[in-house]
Amino acid sequence: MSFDPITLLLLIGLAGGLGSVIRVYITRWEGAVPFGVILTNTIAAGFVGYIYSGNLTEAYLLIAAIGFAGGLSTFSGIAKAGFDFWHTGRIAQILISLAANIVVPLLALSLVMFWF
Amino acid sequence: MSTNWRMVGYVFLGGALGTMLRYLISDLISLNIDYPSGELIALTVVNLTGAYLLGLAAKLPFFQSFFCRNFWAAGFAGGFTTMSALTLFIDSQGLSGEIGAMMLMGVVAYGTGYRQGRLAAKKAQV
Repeated sequence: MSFDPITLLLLIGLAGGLGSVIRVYITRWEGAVPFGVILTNTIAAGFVGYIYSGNLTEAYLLIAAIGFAGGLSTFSGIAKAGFDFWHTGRIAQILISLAANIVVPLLALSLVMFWF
Repeated sequence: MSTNWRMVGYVFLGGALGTMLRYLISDLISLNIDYPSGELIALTVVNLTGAYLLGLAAKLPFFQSFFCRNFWAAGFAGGFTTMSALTLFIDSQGLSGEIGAMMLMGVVAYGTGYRQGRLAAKKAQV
């Protein structure tokens, strides 16, 4: 089943809004590195891996991947956490949180794609 | 735990708007430039703009109301940027220097917005 472009756009927005609300609650978990941001990005990456290994049609793939997972994951949150560490002079923590935000979601994506 | 439904509504609307705009921008760029570089350009544009906006929202007086904090910062700037598409891109194309540069530039973009916002806030106080 496919949608006309406007309906598809609105459905992507709906999924993105849902993902954003969940993200705001998860990213409240902060600590030595921004654990909440890493967790949302990991969940989003795992979700993308799961839906890409299934057999969804193009439209549902866009809604789930670009809409929900895109709204759930965040890049600006990583930048915010990195800059906050910069303020307090913690260079090592900037590099660790940037690297962890690439490595941990990538690991989750690969594992999910391997299993399913 | 009580849920602040007004906050949830604003975040939802901001996130929906940001996600739709990101979809349109990446669609527009990938129509004109082919997959690997087009995707990378779209991700860079979207992520750096979103990081700059979130930095601006941290201190600029205009963004300090309840509505703007939730709609523009938490909702729009967060939903506009994406990490899952970047992870998928790294998984298929491999980790390159451009990706590392994008991560560092994100921090710089946030910092630029933050400083400009703080400067404007100081000027408004005087």
